[in-house]
Amino acid sequence: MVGLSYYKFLNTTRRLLLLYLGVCLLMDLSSRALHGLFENNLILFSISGLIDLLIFSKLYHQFSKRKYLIGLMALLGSMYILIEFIYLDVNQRTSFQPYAKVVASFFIVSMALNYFFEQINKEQKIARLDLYLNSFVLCFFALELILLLPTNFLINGDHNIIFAFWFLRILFLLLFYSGLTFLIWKNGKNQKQLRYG
Amino acid sequence: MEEWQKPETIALWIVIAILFLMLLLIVIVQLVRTIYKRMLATQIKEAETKLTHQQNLLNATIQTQEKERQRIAADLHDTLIGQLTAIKMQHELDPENESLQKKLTESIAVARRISHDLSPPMLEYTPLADLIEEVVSPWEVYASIDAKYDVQIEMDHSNDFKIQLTRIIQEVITNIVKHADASVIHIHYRQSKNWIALKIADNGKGFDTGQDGYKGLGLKNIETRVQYLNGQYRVRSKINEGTSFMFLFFKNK
Repeated sequence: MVGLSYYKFLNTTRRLLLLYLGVCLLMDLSSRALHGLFENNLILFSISGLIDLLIFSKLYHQFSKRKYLIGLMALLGSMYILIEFIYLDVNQRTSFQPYAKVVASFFIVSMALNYFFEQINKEQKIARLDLYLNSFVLCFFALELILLLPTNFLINGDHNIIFAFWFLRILFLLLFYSGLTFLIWKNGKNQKQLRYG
Repeated sequence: MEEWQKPETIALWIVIAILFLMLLLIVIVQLVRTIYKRMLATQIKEAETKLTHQQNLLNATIQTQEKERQRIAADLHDTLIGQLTAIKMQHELDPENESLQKKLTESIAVARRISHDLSPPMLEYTPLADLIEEVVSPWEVYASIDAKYDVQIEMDHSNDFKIQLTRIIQEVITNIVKHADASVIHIHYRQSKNWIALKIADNGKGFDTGQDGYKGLGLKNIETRVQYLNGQYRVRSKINEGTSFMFLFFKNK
């Protein structure tokens, strides 16, 4: 809501973040709908990995000087996810173990670290909000990689044990989304003040 | 059997997690190292800029001071000495004013000495060794001066270098005469292809170089001029064993 109200004042980066949040919301609604209809929404697991990778690749492609590197990472990641998706049997819950999220997170973390190195070697001072954004992305996807590595266990494991993992993930997601919302709000507010005083 | 229960799957997860964490750690360490190096580089750059600024300030101060001295010397020479000479000539034929004549002659000599001290005449055409000799010779009334000039190769020195070295020598000898209570001053000047060395030593009462604040205005002046000429200097002194100053200037600096 905050993003939409400030939409015309947002820069391209923040619009991408808004798009990301919108897509996440859509994924959430779709997963509920799929679960309601087929009692299985595992197909969205790989798709959400691909979407994460594509949106953050686009974001870092804008920031980075080494655009070819970002492009290459996005290409490799997407190829792996697509190939895995072709061979993935979403109906077999017991053998369902995709690495799409792990691969996507790994490449996003790599892009975030690459961004840090580029900024350090630059003469100009790093914009504080961009630094926050990169730190949020780095922390969230590093945790996401570790947490979603044992996907099969998180789906089939003992409910009492996996509850803690899912709860932790929800917590990270909430913090990450709150962080992104804060950055969108801050940018929109600043741009509005610059335009209207 | 579910996938997560298979040992090979668990092993794979552990390996991936460990590898990722190690990689992340290495990259973060590298990142911190880069930040630290960059901070260090920035600090060095700032310090260098500050030093350059101070050096420029010092150079400007010394140059301004020198110009002012030259102006005063020229004023003394062109106006005061001229007028005194004119007055002297007017009274030359009057035998009754012998004491006035004497005083006028003395005044002209004093004014000329001050003018020469402020700006040595024929600076451009006088070799450095001769210039040093001119500077030190008037001090022989206060102490015996034992000077050695070892010029291995003749060199053209800039007027600025000559004048600054002259000032350093003047300052050192003034210090000796004022404070050292010395009877002999040794001067050893050596000029080679690439460097110039100058040693000025005395047999005076010396001072404690380990004592805080031993550097008075005179020593600070010497230090400033040596820095200005990109030279090096060292002072050695012991109580009752005299003092020696060593100066070294490299030709290519």
